[in-house]
Amino acid sequence: MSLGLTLAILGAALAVFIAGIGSAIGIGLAGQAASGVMSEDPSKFGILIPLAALPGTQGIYGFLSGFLVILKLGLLGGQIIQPTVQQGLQIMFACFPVAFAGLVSGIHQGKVCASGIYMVAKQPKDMTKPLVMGALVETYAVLGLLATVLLLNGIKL
Amino acid sequence: MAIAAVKRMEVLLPRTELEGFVSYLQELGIAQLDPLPYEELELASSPLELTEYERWLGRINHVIQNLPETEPKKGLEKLLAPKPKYSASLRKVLLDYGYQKVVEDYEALEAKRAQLWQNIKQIEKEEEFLKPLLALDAPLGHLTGFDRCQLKMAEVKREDLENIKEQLTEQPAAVSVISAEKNLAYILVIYHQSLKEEIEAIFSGFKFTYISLESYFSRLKGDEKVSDLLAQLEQQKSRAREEINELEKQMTSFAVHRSPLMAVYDVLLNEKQKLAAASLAGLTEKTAWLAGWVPASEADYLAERVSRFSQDIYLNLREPKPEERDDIPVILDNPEVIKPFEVVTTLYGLPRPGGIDPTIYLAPFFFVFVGLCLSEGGYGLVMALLSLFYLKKAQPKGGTRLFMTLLFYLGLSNMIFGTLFGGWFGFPIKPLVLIDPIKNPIPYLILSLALGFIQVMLSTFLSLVKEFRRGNKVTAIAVKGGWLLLLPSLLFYFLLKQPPLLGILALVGAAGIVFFSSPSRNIFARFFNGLYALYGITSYFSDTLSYSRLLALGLSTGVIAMVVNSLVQIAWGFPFIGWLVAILIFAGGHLFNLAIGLLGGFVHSMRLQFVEFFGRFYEAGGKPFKPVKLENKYIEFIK
Repeated sequence: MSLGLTLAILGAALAVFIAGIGSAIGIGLAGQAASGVMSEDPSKFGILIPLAALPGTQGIYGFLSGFLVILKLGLLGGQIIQPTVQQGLQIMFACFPVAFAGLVSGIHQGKVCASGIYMVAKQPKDMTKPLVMGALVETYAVLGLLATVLLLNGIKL
Repeated sequence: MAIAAVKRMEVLLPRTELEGFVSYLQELGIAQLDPLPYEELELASSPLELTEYERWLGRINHVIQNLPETEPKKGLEKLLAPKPKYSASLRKVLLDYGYQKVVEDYEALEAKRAQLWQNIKQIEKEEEFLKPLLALDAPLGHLTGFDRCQLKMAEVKREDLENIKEQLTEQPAAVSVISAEKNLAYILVIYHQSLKEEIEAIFSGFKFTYISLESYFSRLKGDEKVSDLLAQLEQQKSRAREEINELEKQMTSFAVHRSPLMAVYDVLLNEKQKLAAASLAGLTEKTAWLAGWVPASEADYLAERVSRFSQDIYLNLREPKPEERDDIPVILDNPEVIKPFEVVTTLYGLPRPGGIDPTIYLAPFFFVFVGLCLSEGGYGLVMALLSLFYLKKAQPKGGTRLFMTLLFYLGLSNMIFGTLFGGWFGFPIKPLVLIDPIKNPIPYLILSLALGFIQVMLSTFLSLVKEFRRGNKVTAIAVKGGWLLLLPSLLFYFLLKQPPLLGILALVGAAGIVFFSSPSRNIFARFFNGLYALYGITSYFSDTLSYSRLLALGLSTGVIAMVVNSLVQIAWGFPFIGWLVAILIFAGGHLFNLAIGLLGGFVHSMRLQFVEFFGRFYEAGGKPFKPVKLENKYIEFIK
């Protein structure tokens, strides 16, 4: 296996696991808050689930970018493309936006969602407002994903 | 106008008719009552009855929650079951049901049961106490009534046992071990009473507790041993258990009262609301005065109904005065097709009275955006069918109905945009696909940004309308109009090889912004403030770019759907159970993707409305219209 291919695979791995860490921490924070609220009022499970799940999207974006790299390299079957070292590096760097924007925004979205969950505990009718607040943070993960997709699209193998 | 007109309602009526009239208003459900703005009038005191009602509501609810259903329904059936219906005008008949007696009887049974449980706990404690002494195989009567001897029983630590025995045997005393457990031992000591101090001195060297059976001695009938006592306790316990069973059977037989109680609960709830509403009236010795609001469209109907209800009621419906403007409740009034999108507007907050209702403007964008974010025809079909099914089966009312209809629309939107830009469950219908965002993201990005630009322009136009209506005609035309001229001209200037005409138009627009943004009379201040206002172009730029999320979100659902399908393909190859695993992955994977994708698509489309679209023109802060009406928790009132 060539160094170029290895670097490209490293990029895919970074996108998946760094963004995944962000989501894992984020959902961890929101999930703890949700469990705390449910210890008082278990009937809130239904309305808390979307808030606790919202920081999960970063991990999905990372996974998606990793998958696009896998598709691009033909690793799912058929002819495996052997990129040059430079192309491999290009792919790896293209994965950075989604990885790091996902990491940080996932954690912070988790915090925003956790406070949102406390808000829902007191104002059960206002469940959409904290969702929108969470979406404000997610914007930057979305932009990271967008940059990664466009960069990957631009790299010619 | 998409905000419905309302009329101020003023009612003057004999004090004796107040409650009856408010009750009638509840039935009509079209008028909101406000507290009277005249402080000099005596306000109807909030009666003690109100707390009385609340107490009964709490008690009835407790009984309802604890009673089993007569025909238990499971999961979906329960969710879809419509509420039982009762006639609104005959509702007070339900109060003759004798609910007080039912509730009191049930509570009495509950109290009895609680007492029995208490008894059982007490018995169990006693058993715990007696059990270690079970080996004491002598009638308890023999352990008491000595002349010169003393008999003591004690619980000591197991490790001290040998030590104590040794020290005691040095005295003229008899020691026997009743039982020994892992940590504790129970001993019996008999000694002559003259040795009292010595024995106590020995004991005080160790950790111990005396065991006294004193309370049992008085109750002895004959030669009972500890084992007999335990048997008696066991008997008492099982008797109490039987009684509890009996009580619970009786309590279950109350289940027939469950649905009547549910109806009574709702009637009482409305009686309470009626009292609360009537307490808003201003009172003189003989008359009562009510004030509130009615939608203009219902005004004639109300007048007609009131005149038929009683001849003694004076009803005045008029246009609101300017000083009442802030109190006018806001009712959104949109065509039936647009109505479900009011959900989005209401979430942000109702417009101020006299403001712009944004529903009709955001509706098409919201419809398209959710479609683009999810872009999955199959998921759309699932959403549309599920929401349609719920609407038909459960017949929800009010907010739930609007929300479900909105979901149905969003399902349709996905069927359209999923076909054009995505696929059905991850499989694109190739001849119908306009742009495949995975292979060709740039055109999709341009489409997203173009839609964004259009919505940003629309929001600028609406801000022009708002300024114009406020009377700031110069600002409206020169500044807001300037932006409307500048931005499109600039865009097409660069897109279309820089034709000079567009350049000039852009400059005209920019000039409007520079010279009319600041109200200052100082020409320099005006010019430089104007230049700074022109810098606001960055906000238009970033708002438009924000719509690029449509591409990213649209991609993500499509790619995950593809991933699910390739997993299905792999699973299909497993020997024997491959098909089963494949079906499970297909169903679970797509369901997960639908849930996550819909959450993202819905929330982000909403954010685009709230942040990028509303920011320029929309002012929330209207009060919702809250008519006095028949409220319901368990049943539904029909006319």
